[in-house]
Amino acid sequence: MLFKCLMGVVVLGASAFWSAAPVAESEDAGTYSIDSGHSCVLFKVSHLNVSNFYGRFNEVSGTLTIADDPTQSAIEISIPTESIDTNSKDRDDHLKGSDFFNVKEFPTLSFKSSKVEKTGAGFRVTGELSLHGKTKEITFDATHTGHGESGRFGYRTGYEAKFTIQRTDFGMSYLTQMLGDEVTIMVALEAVKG
Amino acid sequence: MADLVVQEVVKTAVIPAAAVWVACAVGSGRKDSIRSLLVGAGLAAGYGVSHSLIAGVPEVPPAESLQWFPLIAGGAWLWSLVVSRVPRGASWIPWMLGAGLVAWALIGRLTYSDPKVEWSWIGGSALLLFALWGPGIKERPASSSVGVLAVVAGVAAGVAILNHSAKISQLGGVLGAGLGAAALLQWWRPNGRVTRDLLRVGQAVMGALVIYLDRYLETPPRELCFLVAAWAVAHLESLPKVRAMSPRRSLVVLTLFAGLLGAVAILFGYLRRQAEPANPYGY
Repeated sequence: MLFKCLMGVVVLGASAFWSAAPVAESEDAGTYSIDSGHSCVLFKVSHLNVSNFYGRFNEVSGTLTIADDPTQSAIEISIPTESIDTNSKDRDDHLKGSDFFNVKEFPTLSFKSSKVEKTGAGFRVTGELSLHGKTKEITFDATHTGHGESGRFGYRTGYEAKFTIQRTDFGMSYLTQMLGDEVTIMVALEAVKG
Repeated sequence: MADLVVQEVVKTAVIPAAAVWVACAVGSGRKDSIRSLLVGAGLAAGYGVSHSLIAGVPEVPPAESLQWFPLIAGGAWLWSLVVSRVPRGASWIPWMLGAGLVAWALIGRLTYSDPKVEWSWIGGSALLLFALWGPGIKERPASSSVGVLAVVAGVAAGVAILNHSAKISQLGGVLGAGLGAAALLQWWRPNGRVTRDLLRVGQAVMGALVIYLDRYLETPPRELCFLVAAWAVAHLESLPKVRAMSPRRSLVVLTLFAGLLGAVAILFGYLRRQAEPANPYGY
């Protein structure tokens, strides 16, 4: 009896583990389109070394390719820099201008993965981030936030990631005394299969 | 904060002005043509140093449009050397080519859906620059253009800040400070032959600034027109009435007139910003 109970716990535990492990499931495998309306790209930057300021990009598009073998998975994201939103038109216009994003010359911020590895709790993604005319390799950890059939909304999956870049690495070196060099980017993606 | 302000003033005003004055002092007692080359080199070098401190050291080829500015300053000085060897009647050809290069360097980096539109902008901008460069290209004994251009660069700085770019405003200030230093020297000892090369450098960078204000910062046409009109005041130097004035007087009169037109550009920009709703998002 005791043996059966122990076996039951082991089986329950294993099934719980596998339901939390995202890309190992064949039902999740496939190509997904990012749903801009239900995805968020936020950024955080220090202002005057006093507080942290948060802003966002209102549009994001791209694809997630999820394979049973995580190393075959891939992600491509494209964000129009024009979609930056900090709840102030004046500040948005300043950020869109030549002091920062220079959206007329560099209208897109993009990321393309080159390697995806499975880690204990999620994935480690390496790829090239292109911003302000510069491309740099970055690595960040991503976690799977959920997946499932959503009726007429289709089969969906979600991921989150948070990473830090130095804006001066991307040629955005103006006013670093006032606005921090380090920018934390938080991404929450919801993507629909097919 | 006070340290930061001092640093920015040094980068924006002290370096370019000092570079022009040092070049002038080095050239003192030499032939006018040598002094002109030195003063032109002073402005190009001062602008290059300040630009690098404000906007970063330019890469070759430029990684972004702004990195063209110091290259244009240095290029205009070298171009001036070349052009001085071209026969007088044909000297407009390399300047026309130079105007085309400046327009192409900046406008060519933008994405246009129709190449015809892009080339129209490049061609139109090149013609405008060539027309505005006139007084700097021709040999003139008078020196009023330096004062006019110094004021126009200052106005460009004001227009840029009203169009959300502190960096372009600062770069306009750098040019204004360098040219302003030369204008003071001209007021003290007027000699138009000494500022020939400096004027060519200043006009090339000013041309790049005007294109940037229009194409990148989308400056409203009204403000841009008054800025260009202020620059065009330099052409009045060839009017008989102005030529009849003493060099000092013409420098002051034309500079003030350009400042008046420039003030209208800034006033339009200021009123436009005041009229903007505080929160157009309506949150």
